[in-house]
Amino acid sequence: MQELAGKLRTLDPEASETLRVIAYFDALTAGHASAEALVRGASLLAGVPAGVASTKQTLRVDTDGRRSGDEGSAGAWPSRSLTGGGTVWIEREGNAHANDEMILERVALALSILSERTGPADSVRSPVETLLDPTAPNESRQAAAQSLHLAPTTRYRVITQPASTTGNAAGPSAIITTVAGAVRAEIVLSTDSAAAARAGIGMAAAPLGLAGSWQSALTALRLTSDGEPVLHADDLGSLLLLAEISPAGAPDNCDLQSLGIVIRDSPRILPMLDTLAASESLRAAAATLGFHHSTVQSRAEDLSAKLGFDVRTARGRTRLSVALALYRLETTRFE
Amino acid sequence: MNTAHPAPPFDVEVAAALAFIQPDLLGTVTPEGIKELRARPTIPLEEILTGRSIVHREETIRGRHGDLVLSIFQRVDHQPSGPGIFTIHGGGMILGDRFAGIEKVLDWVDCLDAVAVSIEYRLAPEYPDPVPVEDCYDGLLWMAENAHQLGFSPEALVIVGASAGGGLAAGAALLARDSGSPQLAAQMLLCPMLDDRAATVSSRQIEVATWDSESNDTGWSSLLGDRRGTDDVSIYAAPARATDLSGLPPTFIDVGSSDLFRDEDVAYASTLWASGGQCELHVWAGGCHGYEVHAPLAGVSIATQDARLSWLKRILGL
Repeated sequence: MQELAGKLRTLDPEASETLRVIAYFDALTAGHASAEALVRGASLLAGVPAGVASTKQTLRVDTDGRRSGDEGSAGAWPSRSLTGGGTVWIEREGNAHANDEMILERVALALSILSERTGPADSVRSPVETLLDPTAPNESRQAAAQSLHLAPTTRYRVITQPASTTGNAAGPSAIITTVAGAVRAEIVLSTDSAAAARAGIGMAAAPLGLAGSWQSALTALRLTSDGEPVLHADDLGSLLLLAEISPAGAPDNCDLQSLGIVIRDSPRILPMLDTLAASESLRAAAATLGFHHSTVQSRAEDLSAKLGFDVRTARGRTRLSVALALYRLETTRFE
Repeated sequence: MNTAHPAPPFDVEVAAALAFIQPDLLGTVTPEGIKELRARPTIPLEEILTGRSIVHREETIRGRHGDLVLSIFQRVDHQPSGPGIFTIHGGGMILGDRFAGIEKVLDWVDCLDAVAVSIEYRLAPEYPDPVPVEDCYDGLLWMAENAHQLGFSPEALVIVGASAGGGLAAGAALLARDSGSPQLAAQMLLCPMLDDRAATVSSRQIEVATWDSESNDTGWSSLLGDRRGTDDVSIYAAPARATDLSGLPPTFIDVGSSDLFRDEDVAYASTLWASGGQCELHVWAGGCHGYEVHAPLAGVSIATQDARLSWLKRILGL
């Protein structure tokens, strides 16, 4: 029964629909949509023609979803640059609509990711994607390692960063769609130092073990926070195992639900929770946070009541640490 | 039935549209949920007609089960003697009204200068079989008998329906065949709901929030009650039951490869051919049930609409 159930159409000029715009382009990217499908998406959500011009392709889509004969150009239209070179635009006349910025940002990111891929999903993948795919046959991964000139006995690491991070990758890299959104995976020597604003550093491995390094780097990235923006998988130990369970499918009593409610009710509590989990005592937590001891004491009491376990005990801190890790695995998205 | 394989993947633009409209999707329709779904707001007719040079009027006629309301659409500058399109809305036999999904028909009114009649047939479960299909047939007969007054050529009468409307269109076309009138120029069955038995692979393989097997169970059981799946179901209620489809007009059938109606629709085309009939069948890769409605500007949806119009023009000699 189709007609009652909604359809994809031009967005309200005034109501912001950020999450839906992101979901739309993420789904197109995950499905390896063509440049035309991406530009068509921008056009239909904006309700005006849209186009892209780059060295790889130049095309324009009309409001009826069809490719127009006239290729058009960015001219003075609202536009965004693509990381690989080129421009995408929407032909908005008059004032910008509420979602124009977000549409342009997401279509530009999606087109940038597309231009880094060498081909559609199942025909030609980038060797980095093949090497990091644990389900790829050994021979394919061997061939991929060779084509990347990786020495079989040398140890490397995968470094993960949000795909939206700009900056040139030093080693071979690819953008990969993950449970946490679009992530850039870069392969570096295990001895290289990593300088990044937000990153997960994978465990060292020989080329054929890099799929494992990628998984550990992705988990590390998902566990980063504003307080700890760069995490080494080497330092995470058994916390890495948490990524193998689905927090959504975890039992009700895993503390994730009560933690989720606490964070939802007061989002700015996160640094305090992190500090409580990481500190040996309330006094140490108070010192880190720069609060008075009695303030932290009463907050800890209050939080313990809401969470259903006592964060002032060693077991409570462990439960809090694990719940925070699960919470980040569940909620971290790189848009 | 165990299904050994997962459903074919969705077309990428269809999948993205489903992600976008996720909160609005129907979900699984249960008998208890019908009332709430019927109360959902629909797009007002004025909005549907905005930007179109089309006029609308209503007619109430007498059918064997009681009064029937029909909506009649034609171009403002309509010239008589074009095609007539009798259209039946979808909704699993239990939901929807005569304006649901009318846009595609209005496109044809626009570009073919057709006269379209959309019928408000009575819905199950309040009005079980044979009421819905006989309402549709009574409306079709009225349209044919009033061709001159309505301003279309009686030789160019096409019956169209989508989803449950496709099943009812096929049923009404069978009633027309077996009672000798009216003569139809063509039938267009768009992802039609034809088979109450849920015995095909696709009827169990595909679970998508636009129309899943449990929703389909709800629709058929509402229409047929305890008779569902038994020998006591007519070919007019479930046209897939027909083994002889000779004597039917040229037929167009389309369906997505990820629609649970896929296999019954393909089988209907095969039976039409086996019966010496003419049928054009399109199975669109990666389309879920109603994909062209949910994602009207997806590449595959544009191709779908183009194919329908192309066939109409060919079959009507336009």
